[in-house]
Amino acid sequence: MPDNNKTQLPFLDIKDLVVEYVSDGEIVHAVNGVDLHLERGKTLGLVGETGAGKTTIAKSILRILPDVGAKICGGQVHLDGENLLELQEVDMRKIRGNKISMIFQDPMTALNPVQTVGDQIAEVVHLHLEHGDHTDPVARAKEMLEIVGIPAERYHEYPHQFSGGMKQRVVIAIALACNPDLLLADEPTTALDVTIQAQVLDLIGDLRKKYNTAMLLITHDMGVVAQVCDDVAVIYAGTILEYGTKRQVFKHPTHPYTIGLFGAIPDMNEDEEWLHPIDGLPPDPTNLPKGCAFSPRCPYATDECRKEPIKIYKTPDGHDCRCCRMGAIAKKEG
Amino acid sequence: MVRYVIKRLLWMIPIALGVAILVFTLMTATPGDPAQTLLGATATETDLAAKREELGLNDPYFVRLGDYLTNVFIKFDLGASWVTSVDIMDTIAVRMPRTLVLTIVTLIIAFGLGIPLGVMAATHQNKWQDSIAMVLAMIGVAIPNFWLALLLISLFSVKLAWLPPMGIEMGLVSYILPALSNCTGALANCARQTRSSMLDVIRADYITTARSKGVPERSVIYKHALKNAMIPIITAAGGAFGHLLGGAMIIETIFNIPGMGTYIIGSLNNRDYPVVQGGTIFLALAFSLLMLLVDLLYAAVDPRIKAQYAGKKRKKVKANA
Repeated sequence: MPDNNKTQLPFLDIKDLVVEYVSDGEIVHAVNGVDLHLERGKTLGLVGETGAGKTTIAKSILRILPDVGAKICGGQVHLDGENLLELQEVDMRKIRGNKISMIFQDPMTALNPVQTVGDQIAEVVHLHLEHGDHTDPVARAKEMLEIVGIPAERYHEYPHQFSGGMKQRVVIAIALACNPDLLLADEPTTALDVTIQAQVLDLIGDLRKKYNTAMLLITHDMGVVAQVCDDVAVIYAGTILEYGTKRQVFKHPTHPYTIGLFGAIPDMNEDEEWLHPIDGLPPDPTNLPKGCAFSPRCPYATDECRKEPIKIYKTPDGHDCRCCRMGAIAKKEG
Repeated sequence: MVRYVIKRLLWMIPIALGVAILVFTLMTATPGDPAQTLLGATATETDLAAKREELGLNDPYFVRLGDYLTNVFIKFDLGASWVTSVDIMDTIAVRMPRTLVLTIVTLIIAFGLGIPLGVMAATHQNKWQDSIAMVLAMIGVAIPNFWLALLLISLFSVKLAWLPPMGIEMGLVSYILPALSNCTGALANCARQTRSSMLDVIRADYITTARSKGVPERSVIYKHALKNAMIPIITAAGGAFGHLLGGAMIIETIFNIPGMGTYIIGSLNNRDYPVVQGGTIFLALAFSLLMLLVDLLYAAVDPRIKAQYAGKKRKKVKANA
C-alpha cells in the first residue's frame, strides 16, 4: 500500500471518481467515489463482478465513455501530475494510444474487420508520430507483430484470418506499439481458453517489464490477480470495498465480500460436492442501498451498516477496508 | 474471383433467355393489332392483311418465338423498329448512355447527400439533427417526383432561368433538374439505410478500440465506422440504380430526354413489338450486370466476403485434384 503522506502525487492518481449513466430517465450510479493510485511499472488489480463499474473506470481514465448517456460527474484522474479530466479533447487524443492504452475484453470484436491487422497496428504509431519514439509506422507494426509472436508476413491479413488468441495478441500489439506508460487491461484473458490465457498473461508481463509500463488489470479472476498483480482493489457496485497489497488482501481478506469471493473458489485438494457462492445478487445500480452496498447480502450486517455510507477503516495489517463491522467479524472468524 | 465473375456472367444467358421469352409472350398476348396501329384508322383490309403477312404476325406463336430467339441469341440482332425501320441496337447505343447519365447523376446526388445525412443522424441519435434528417427523409419518400419536377422547372427555368426546362442540348447541365427531381426517393432511402447501419456499427467494440488509439472523431466515423456500415448502403444503391433505370420514363417524358424510358414507352403505345422486347432484354441485362457489380463491390469493401468468393474456387481446385 503506497502511503498517502507523500506530497507528490503517484504516477496515476484517481480521486473520488463519480460516473453516472442515464438510461430511460433513470440514473445508474456506476462509479461512486473511487480512489485508486498506481506507481510506474507496478500492477494494480481491480477485482469485482460484472457490472461493478470496472470497465467504466478504465474508460473514464481514457475518456472514451459513450457520448450518449454516460457522464463523469466528479473527481480527478491525475497522470504524471496532469488532470486528464480537464484536458482539451485534442490533448487527450495525444495521450490515448500513446501514454495510456487499453486492451479490451473480447478480441473477437475489438479489431476492425475490414482493415488489415498490420494497418491497425501501424495506425496507432502513425497517429503519434510527433510525440512517439517511432518514425516508420509500418516497420514498427511488423516489429510489434514479431514481438507478440506473429510472423511479420501476416501484416496484410485481416482479423477473420486469425484465431481468438492471435487476435488478442494483435490487440496487445496495438496497445503496446507506442510503449505506453500506463496499460489498462480490461479482462484481457476472459474470452480466451486457459492455455492461451497463460501465454497472453506472460506476454503482457514480459513486455511491461521491458518498458516499465504500469498496468491497471481489470479482472474477476483471483487466480490472475495472484499471478500478476502488486496491489489489489476489490470493487463492488461502484465502490472500493478493500484495497491493499496482494499479500495483505490474499493473506488477510477482511471485508465480508472479499472473504466471500475467496470462499467461492473451489478447493482442489478437497472433495467438495457444492460450490460456495455469495448468496443474493448485486444491488440495482439505479437504486443503491443507503449504507453499505453489500449489506443486503452480508451475513454480518447490522442496522449500523444500513444507516449511512461506510467510511474506510485500516485493518490490523494496514490496508483499507470499507466495513464498520471489521472487528466483530474478525472475532467470529477467529 | 475471376472464376466467380465468369460464372456470374454465364448465368446472364439463361436470365436473358427467360426475359426474352416472357416479354415476347406478353406482347403476343397484348390486345390490339400492330398492323392497324402502324397503318392508321384509314387503312383498308387488304393493306392490313399485307402488313400482317410482312411482319410475320400470321405465323404460329412458336414459329415466331423461335425466329425471334434465333435472331437475338444466335445472330445477335434485335431487329429494326416496325415504325421507323431504324435498327434497334443502333438506337439503344444512342439512347442508353443518356438514361445512364441521368441515373448516375441522380445516384451521385442521392448518395452524396444521403450518406452524410444518415451519418449525421446516427452520430446525433435522438437529437435535433437526427429529427431533421429523418423528417427530410420522410418528405423525400413522400414527394411525387413528377410534381417536384414541375416545381423545379417553374423555379429554376421559368423564374430564375438558370437551367434548361427540357431537352439535352446543354450537355450535363441539362441533367441537373431531372436528376434533382428524380433523386428524392433514393436520397431518403439512402439516409435511412445509412443511419440504421451506422447505429449498429458505432456501438461496436472496434470503434471503441479506434477511439482508444487516439483516432480523431471524424476519422473514427468516416474511416472506421462507415466502411463497416457500407454493405447495406451498397445494397440500397444497387436497388436504387435498378429502380431508377427502370423508372426513368416519367422523368424522361417530363424533361423530354430521348432515353431508354421514352423509347420503350413510345414503342409500347405504337405496338412496336421488337423495340419493346429488345429494350426490355437490354435493361434486364444491364440490371444483371449491375447486380454483379454490387456483389463485386461487397468484396472490395469487406475482405470476409472476398474470402468467400475465393473460397468457393479453392474448394473446387481441391475437388479436381
